[in-house]
Amino acid sequence: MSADLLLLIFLLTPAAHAMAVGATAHVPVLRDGANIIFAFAYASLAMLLIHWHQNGAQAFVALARPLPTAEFSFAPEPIGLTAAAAFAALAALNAPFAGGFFRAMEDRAPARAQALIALSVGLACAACLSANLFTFLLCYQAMIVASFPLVAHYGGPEIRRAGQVYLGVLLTASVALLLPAMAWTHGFANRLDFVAGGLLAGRIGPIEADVLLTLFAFGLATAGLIPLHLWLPAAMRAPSPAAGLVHCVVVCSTGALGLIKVSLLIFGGAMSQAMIARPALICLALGGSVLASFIALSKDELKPRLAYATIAQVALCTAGAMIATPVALFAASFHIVAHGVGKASLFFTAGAVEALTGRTRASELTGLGRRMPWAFAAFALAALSVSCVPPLAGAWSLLWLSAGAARADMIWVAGLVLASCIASFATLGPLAGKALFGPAPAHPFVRPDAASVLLILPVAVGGALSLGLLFLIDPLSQFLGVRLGP
Amino acid sequence: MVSAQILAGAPYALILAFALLGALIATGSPNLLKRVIGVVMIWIALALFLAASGVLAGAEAPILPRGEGVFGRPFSNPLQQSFARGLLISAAAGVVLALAIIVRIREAYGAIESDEIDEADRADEAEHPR
Amino acid sequence: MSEALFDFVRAHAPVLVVLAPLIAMALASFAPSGRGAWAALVASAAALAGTAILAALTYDGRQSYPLGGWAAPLGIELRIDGLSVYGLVLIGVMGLLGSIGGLGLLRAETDRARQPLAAAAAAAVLTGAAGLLVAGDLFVMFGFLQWIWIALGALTAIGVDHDRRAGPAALNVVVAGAVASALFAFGAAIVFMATGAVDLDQASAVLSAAEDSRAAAAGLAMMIAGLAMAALLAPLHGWAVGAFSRGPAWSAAALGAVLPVAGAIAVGRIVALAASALAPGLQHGVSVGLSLLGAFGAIAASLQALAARDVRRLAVYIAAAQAGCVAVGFAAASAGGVAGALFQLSNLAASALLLFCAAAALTRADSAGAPLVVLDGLGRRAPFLSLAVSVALLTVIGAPMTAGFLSRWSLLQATFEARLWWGAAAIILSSLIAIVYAGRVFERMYLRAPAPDMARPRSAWFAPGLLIAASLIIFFGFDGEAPLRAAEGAAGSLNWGGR
Repeated sequence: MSADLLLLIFLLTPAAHAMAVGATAHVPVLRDGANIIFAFAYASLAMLLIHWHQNGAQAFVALARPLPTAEFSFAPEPIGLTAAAAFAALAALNAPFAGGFFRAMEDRAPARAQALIALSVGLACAACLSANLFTFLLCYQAMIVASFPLVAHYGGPEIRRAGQVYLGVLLTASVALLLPAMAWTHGFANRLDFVAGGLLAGRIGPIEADVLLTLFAFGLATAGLIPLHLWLPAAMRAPSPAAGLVHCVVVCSTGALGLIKVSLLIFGGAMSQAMIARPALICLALGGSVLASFIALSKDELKPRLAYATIAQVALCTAGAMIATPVALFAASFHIVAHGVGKASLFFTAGAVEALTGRTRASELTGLGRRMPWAFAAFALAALSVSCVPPLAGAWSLLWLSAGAARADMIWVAGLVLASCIASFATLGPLAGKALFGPAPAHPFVRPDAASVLLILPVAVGGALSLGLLFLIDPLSQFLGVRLGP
Repeated sequence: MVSAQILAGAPYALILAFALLGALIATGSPNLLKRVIGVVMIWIALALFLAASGVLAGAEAPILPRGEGVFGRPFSNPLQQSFARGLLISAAAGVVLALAIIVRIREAYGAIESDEIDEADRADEAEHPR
Repeated sequence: MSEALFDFVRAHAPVLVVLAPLIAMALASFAPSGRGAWAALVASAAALAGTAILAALTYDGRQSYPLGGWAAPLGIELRIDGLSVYGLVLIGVMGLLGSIGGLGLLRAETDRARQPLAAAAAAAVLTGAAGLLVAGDLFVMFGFLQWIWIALGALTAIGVDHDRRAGPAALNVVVAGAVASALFAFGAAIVFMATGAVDLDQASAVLSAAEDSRAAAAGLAMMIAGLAMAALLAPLHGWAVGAFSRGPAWSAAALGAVLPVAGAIAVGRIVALAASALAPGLQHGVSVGLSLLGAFGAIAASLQALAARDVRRLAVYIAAAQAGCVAVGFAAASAGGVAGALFQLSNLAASALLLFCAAAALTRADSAGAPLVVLDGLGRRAPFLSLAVSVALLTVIGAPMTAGFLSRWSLLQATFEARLWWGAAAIILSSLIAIVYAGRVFERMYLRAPAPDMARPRSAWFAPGLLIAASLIIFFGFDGEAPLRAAEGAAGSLNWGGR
């Protein structure tokens, strides 16, 4: 089997996944079985892709040629591959959790949600592996559209409004800002390929670079840059398995990954031309991050609080992409993985709590850790990891982002990053502490029989991963071709 | 010199003003018949505009004198006049059709005032809400 | 035998495309039954499409056809160049696909006695549209323009039996059409006074040499304004709203995609004349004016589409919004801009065909029109029809993997190049508004339950047109090379160099 074929199979698996879940919709055992098997197969394919890529097999798939100068094509490169593998692995962990959650909640249409989760993750992975900006935009927009029905899953007028906000913000930004940015890029370079060293390097002046970079940064609104972040709180109307994995991890990180790709492969050397936009966007991202943490503190509902925490934490990836030194870009890529694992685990716990106790507020969690120790141990580890607290995985992001900023002569950025991490610790750390060490509630469980292994196992594994990722830094830096250290 | 230019332009200005008046009536009058009259005014102005552009002072109409086969005196440009004729034919077709349509409207609505017709349409809609 | 036929058609193509519908008009008006008249209409549209496709495939430079052997300055010349052959293929194919669908509705909606007349009037509109494309001089263009309005007015008026509101709509077509063609004729007269020429080439040659072309620029601007109405540019599209939403439903299906194409190509021809002959400053003025009109039209019509409560009106507004984008492309007045405009025009034609046909199929028999509620639950009631509507709306949005994406893309490139920023903004804004109204239609079609008393859509006869247009939109979305080359070829056949 050739690498090209493997890539094609990887890209098409989510469609088969969705169809299999749809076909077995009325038989819960078959449905959840198919969902879990396909999700694990997908994750295995992703690992296989990484393995083959390490052995030097360059895969390439071109499916169509919609523009004379741009194909609809996919070509894995290390950063995109890393993100795609992380998404696929988390989706595999999410599949049993979704099964347990929808069973416990006696959901009306679990098959539709599971199929859409698979499709959204698949489209996000396709965006990660795209060979040019056009393909990225296409998969990115398709991902937005595919993840929209998840927001509207529970129905009703209020939720329909949330869905409109979600679709409105994201599609408007991508059509009104990202598309013109792409058209303008095409005007300069006459093609749209992701090129090592930067497609625009040497082709644009300072003003064009400033305007283009701003268009890209706001156009990729799923990265959650502050005035365009409202879609994420709106998306928290989705059921927990979707709100966590799809919206807070996959959709959000795909925007951040897009920025990293734009910075590394579209701008490249031209990043240094954007002398105004770069520092301005870094300040906006990190200042916005602190602001988002404060908003998160004011939210008592757990999911909106996690959403604002996500905005705060993904901003580190945006900052890394704007700093644009190799080490900073590495830190941003690593943060996609570390944040993804941690945030997914947080949502696993939140979902399990919602399913078992019916509690959805932060203030109601006090002492629940004494009744659900495994879940809240995982919650604490994940909360510390996403807030970049040593010695957990997220700490590496903080460290290397600061190092990268220092190499770009932007040492002030390190201070902002630290402030952002402290603020985001404040939103989640005390919450975990209260849950673990507060007085235990008397009769918390409304559905004790629903505590299936499907629901609890992903929580524990997620927490363990937040810890274990600590040791992934060296192989990952080798894979991404970055030399860390002095 | 300047006054001569103005004098030479005066007929065109008058004709254009007449056409503009026609356009206002054609688009603004509530009475459907008057709209058609406005259209007729535009066409007449256009025909005059074309013919005027081909007129030579003191010249003959561009019609071959009977029997001789040549013009004895200068004659006006026939091209504009033939344009004007073609234009009036197509204009007449449109005006006749418009009048026929007005007859049908009167049969259907019993009115040729556009506000009465709109009133009837609104009444219809109120009767059969969408 | 067939080779001789090909040669004959090829040699007489410029006149055949006008004669075919003209003969059909005569045959149809004397036909004994509606079915026979309809057959004549379809046959003439097929002949028009066939001739145009043959001329396009064998195109090797401009082809002039002096009527009766009288050459250009004195006689009347018909011409086929890259621009007109592009438009002829479009109106031929769209007229054919649309009129095939008309039979069922023609018989259901129109009195037996009037069916032949209705088909004859439709053939007459087709004649006018084809003539407008091949006319070689300004006064012949005027003649065909006026012809179109009269024929369309007559056709719309036939709808009075079914829905009396067709009467005022028909009168509006005739009156507003007369004002527009008179505006065109005034412009032509001014150009004639300035140059002494009505032939397009001759006028261009004289103007290029003239020192002062201000009067001619005013004339050209008036001509563009007159044609903008046929090209469906908002705010001059009111006639189409009445004619296509209150006239016979099938007439919109047959002609809704034809008229904007003919009008837009005629606009393009006058813009080309301005670009090749006027002084740069004046030419720029014409460009800016047209681009502002187009930008306004694209946004205004999109907003109207947002407020539309009737499927047929929605279709008209959507077509008008795209026509605005086409005008912006023409205003760029470069080979790239015109190619983008032409590609967008074919996209307009295909989506208008889909939407008008779907609207006609959904129009209720009880003269209540096609309120939006007929779309409710269409996804389950008529999956194929709703799929066709979805494809049309996606291409209107400019979604990737539809032809609309490529056309918006090339338009954006051209507006960037020509620095028409407001044009680019209007194109993007109209796309964004399209997402909203298309989203509402999607919601109705796929998420709502149908109202209890819904009749079955009458879509059987429309099926071939819907199928072909929708698959072309999707196919060209995946591989846009062929239509883009065609549009570039058509744009390149004119002189955009300026003087």
